[in-house]
Amino acid sequence: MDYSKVKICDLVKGIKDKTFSSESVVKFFIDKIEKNKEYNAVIEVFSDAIDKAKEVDSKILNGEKLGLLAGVPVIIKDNILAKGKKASCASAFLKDFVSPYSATIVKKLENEGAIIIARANMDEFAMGGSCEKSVYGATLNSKDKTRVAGGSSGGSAVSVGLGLCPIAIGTDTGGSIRQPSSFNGVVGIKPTYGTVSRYGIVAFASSTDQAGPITRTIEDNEYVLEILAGKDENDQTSIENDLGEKLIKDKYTIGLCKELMDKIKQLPQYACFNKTIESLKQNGFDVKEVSVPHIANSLACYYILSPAEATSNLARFDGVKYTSRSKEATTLEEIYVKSRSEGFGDEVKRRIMLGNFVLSSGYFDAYYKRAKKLQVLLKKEFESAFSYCDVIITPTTPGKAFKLGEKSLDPVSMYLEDLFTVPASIVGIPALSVPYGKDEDSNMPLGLQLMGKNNSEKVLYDVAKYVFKEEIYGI
Amino acid sequence: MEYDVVIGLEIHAELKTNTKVFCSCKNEFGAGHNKNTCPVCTGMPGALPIINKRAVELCIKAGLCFGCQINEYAVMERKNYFYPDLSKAYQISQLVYPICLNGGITLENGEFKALNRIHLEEDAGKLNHISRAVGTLVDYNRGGTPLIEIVTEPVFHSAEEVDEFLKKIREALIFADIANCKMEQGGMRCDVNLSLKPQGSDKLGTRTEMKNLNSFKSVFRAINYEIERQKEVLENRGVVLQETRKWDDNLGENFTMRSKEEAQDYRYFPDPDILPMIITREDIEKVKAEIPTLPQTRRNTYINDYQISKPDALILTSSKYISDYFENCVKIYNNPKKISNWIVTDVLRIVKDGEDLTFPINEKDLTTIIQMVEDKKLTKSNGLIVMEKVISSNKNPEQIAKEMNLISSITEEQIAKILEQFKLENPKAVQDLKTDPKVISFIIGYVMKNTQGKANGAIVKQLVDKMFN
Amino acid sequence: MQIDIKHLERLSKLKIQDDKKEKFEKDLVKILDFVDEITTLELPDEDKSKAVTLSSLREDVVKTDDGFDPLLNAPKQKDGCYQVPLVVE
Repeated sequence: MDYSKVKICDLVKGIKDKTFSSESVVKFFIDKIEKNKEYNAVIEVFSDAIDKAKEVDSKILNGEKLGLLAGVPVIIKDNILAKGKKASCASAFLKDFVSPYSATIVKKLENEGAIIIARANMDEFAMGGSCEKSVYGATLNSKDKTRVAGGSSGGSAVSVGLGLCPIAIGTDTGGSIRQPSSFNGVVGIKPTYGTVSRYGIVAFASSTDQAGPITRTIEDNEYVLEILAGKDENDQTSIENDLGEKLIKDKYTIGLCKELMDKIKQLPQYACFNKTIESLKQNGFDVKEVSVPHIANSLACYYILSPAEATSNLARFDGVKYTSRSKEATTLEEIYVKSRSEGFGDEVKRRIMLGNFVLSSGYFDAYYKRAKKLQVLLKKEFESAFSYCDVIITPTTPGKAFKLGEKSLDPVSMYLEDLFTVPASIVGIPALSVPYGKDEDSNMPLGLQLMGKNNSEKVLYDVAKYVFKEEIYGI
Repeated sequence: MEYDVVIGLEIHAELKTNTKVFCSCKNEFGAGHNKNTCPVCTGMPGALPIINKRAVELCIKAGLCFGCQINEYAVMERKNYFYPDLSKAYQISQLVYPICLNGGITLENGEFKALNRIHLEEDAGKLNHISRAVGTLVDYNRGGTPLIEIVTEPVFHSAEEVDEFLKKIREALIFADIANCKMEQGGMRCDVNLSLKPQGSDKLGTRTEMKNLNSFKSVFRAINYEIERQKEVLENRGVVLQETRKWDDNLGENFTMRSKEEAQDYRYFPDPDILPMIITREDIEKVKAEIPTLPQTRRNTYINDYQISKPDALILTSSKYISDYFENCVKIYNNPKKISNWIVTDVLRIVKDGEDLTFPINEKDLTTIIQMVEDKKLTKSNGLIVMEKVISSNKNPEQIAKEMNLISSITEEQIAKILEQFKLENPKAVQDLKTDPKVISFIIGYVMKNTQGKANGAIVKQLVDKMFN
Repeated sequence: MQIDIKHLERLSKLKIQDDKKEKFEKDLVKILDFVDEITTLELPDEDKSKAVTLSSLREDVVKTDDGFDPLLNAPKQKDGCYQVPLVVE
């Protein structure tokens, strides 16, 4: 049986009803991972997965009560810690790192009976938008092997895109769930900041990092997010979020960001975007322009704040406690400099140095402090925009997945890819990417991004149902 | 040339909490290597700090003890630098919005010494430097211990002033149960910033910093050494370099550790993992209610209102326990001077010096004994015997005095009168007293006859010794 | 925009290979030029609204995780400690 197109709730039901076993489901997906190795989406299949599945099956036979994900396989991004398993952030520096504890979300998934079957490739330390910057090599796009997976959660998105698992967990700091989801024709959400605990997820930029599910369908996505969400005593920035249950209504007002429309109109996908607007109108939704005057400055804000935080977050990788230590180092200073220089890739080094620049004495006020103020301004502007509409839509990315190597030489051209995704990260609001069309020439999937006010994820899912094209998955 | 000395201090004290400041690990000195650690205090990837409410409260408490303004908005920041004792390669501390600002304390000569701030931060782990072959071993047990840093203005001019100030700070922190300040365990350390300037000049000289001095004696010696060193440099037309100098207590001298060129750029910024804090009026009131009357104030009361000598007042306020004990006694029996004498000379003599000082006799029993002695029911020496018996037997003083037959039911004055009478009637016997041991029994018999046997023989003996010798 | 790449290497505890230095510097300058717009914007004051009250903070109660091994990934260890070359203070 092909389990890759079965809804999650039906998988759980089937396993609990003993229509099929968790073991057979897990075996099916692991087998599929083996057959799709050339895509390089998965770094490692965990050897205990089948045993865990058997445990679930025997619990079912014994009539034990099981959770909402009983026996369902999950792939996690390689920056999420599961005790006793490796987590490398796709970095040479952590290649042999074994997690000494489990992330809160891993515990939550396991408590619901999920089987963590593998860890997914990513851009090193989640810095990148193509999944080419991994020590394990690039992940290939699930729809076209000559194109990038997108990133940084490329391995996770491609895993779902190829049907290697029903659920993959990604992390998103400036678009790292949404952009690869868009490139691979799958559904991915960056929830409201704080909805999903960050405890046990290797930090990149603490004030915008958020984990979220990547799935084939909207319904699946919502199902998993409900499990992941919740205040965690180990993460002070986590929040209680009902995901906007009470905000659900029949008709919504859709906002188009005035300041982005000129750019959107120039995109090859504009026809598709426009068609979507028309269909929303036909469904009785109001569509109007709203204003977020400084939205275009989000990128500058993001490329100051995120390197600043990353610099500090990645300083703990110093060759003393857990990262690999340079064999040539004989003094403490050499342990630091040589281990870090050998361990980190160029993009990571670039961002560490950039972060140190904006934090260093003499530049702190001009860059970091001003970026924090811009963040405040953007929050206010979004708040005001959401007083006129429920959801703001943009394309998730300016274009389809680009060719491997196409943008890897010029960091700024890569950063521009994040134009539409970064604002929601900066202001902390939820943003969902769903497949809504195809690029005419290449037949590659395109994603629509839906942004809502804080704690309104269910509104996003609700609206997305009107634009979601399930058939894109099967391209 | 004559110089003015200008000194500023940064004092670190470990707070008395159950757990560390950003994780629930035990805050404890001397556990096995890396035993009290978790993902947070060892800086594991993905671990996040969760701030300890009690540590924040104790920092507020310290601020209130020293008259600081408590800020209603406080922010934890990251101070970034690499060192193996710092597991995250940043220390969580405070810069722009500390919990306490200003404040200060007054020295005995009436001079006010101003603080700049008191902020909350985490301690680093411990480095054990073994040998060139083995290297340095890193232990994070101490990592994440809550610290307050008390920063003074540059207002000190001599080692003596600093010494008095530090002792007052330590005394208050211990008294208010904020910190143990066990200096030999690193529970209180002091950084000294020192510069010289030509006498009367407005312009400050270049300062040096000496870090982590961990005894009053080394602070004192290090300051005097550094004053002399800088003097010598200036007098030889040299230039004092802005640098960190390390004090070597064994050699009694200091040497360059880090010059300004290598000075660190700490790249402070607000820690995105820890939300800023709002400190309300109610929070401050709650903490205020925990603060006992501080030793300085108590001493003033003892000296001015109770007419207790300054040395005794110092002993009585040397710990909160003794001071509270004394005040409890005074509440039961209003005779502070006598109580003070008993505590200072008699009670403290029999208790062992140690960290958990407790007296083996409770306030009620001690005051009962003192009162009995004052009422002449007991002689002082019998009072001491009763005290010892109370301690060893758990019985109450009256009971013991009765059982041991130490109570004089008639007063010494009455006995003295009878003895005077005896002397008039038996001048010969008084003369023979020294040579004839039988005479004393004869005198006691006489007193007993005249008091219907109610006199205390021991007291009679004492009085005979006093009056007839 | 000028940057002192040596200073940034020092702060970062990184050594960029000589043959890559030029490209690194060029890229960093390019990124900084890209974010430079921030220095001229009219901006509001910092936000103090996201603060929490003391009552929401963690209680001072000890919790231990016996299963945690701090040295699980230590590159070098001795006597329960992480081991580094002798640090001269």
